[in-house]
Amino acid sequence: MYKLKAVVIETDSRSRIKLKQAMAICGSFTSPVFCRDFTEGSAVIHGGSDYDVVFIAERAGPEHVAAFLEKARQSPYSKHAAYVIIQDASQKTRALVGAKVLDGIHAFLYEPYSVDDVISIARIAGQVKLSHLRAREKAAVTLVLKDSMIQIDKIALLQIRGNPVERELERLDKMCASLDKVKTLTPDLFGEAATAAFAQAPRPQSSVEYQEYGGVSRRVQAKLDEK
Amino acid sequence: MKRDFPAQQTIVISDDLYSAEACSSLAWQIDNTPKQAGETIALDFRNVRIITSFALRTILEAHHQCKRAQASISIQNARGAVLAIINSIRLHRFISIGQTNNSGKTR
Repeated sequence: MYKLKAVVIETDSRSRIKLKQAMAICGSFTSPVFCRDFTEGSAVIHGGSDYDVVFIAERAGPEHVAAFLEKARQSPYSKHAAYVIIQDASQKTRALVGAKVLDGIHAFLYEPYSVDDVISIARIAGQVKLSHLRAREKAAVTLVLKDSMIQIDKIALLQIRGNPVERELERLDKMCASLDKVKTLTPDLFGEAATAAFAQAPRPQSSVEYQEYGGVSRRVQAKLDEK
Repeated sequence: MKRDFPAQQTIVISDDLYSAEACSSLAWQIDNTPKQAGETIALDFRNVRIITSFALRTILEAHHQCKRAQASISIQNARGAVLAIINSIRLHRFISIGQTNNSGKTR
């Protein structure tokens, strides 16, 4: 089972210990990193390791949380992470939850919490990771398909002109072979990406425009001769 | 003893698919072929030598139409470059490719 890499920014030492214990019992996290403040947290999320979930205790103040969130989303190591706010259950209001969701928060952990609550958070973080992975892979598949469309039309043009196409077919094959590297490439994912990419396929030119290139025009040739 | 074969309709594509007109004609033929659950729409590529990305778009749309009708789509008699292109872009993962004994008649 894949274990999530987590970073926790919690200013209160007791709460840090409590969460550490809950995460250890939960078993879904691998050696979570605990930070005492946002300065330490910023250093960790820019430190070169990828994180799947970032826990942020709101007791440090909402403005600090917002500033940290902005930095965290810019870091290549935590931009695809799930963000979880730890706050007191008494602060739970619909308006506040709505505002935080708009800020890009994926889940809330309300104090006092149980191990089951932490397990639920791990489940949500896992889903966020999967959806980001799927979105990234779909984008990669789309890129390959767009390149392959250009190659397909190039092959068609060479065939119309009667030129050999074997080398270009090999290039197309190599280009598309990278699709096999996409671990989660299901027919549905491929179908979605292919439909979106091919929907932008250009209308073929009329056959008149495919005529063999016969060199520069007389006017350009005359100018070249002058030079 | 009477044996039941899955129903198949064959659309013979008569031209190379590099002109907009040929692609539109293919789209028209596919759109106007009634699709029924369990049926296979076979696209017969025996006369096709050249295929463009625009033609593949039409084939993908046909695949979606068939899927909605719980029918399936099959590419028949594709040779050379056409088959190489379809194989390369992995369309064969969800569109079946095969040879047919069908004479190519449209039902």
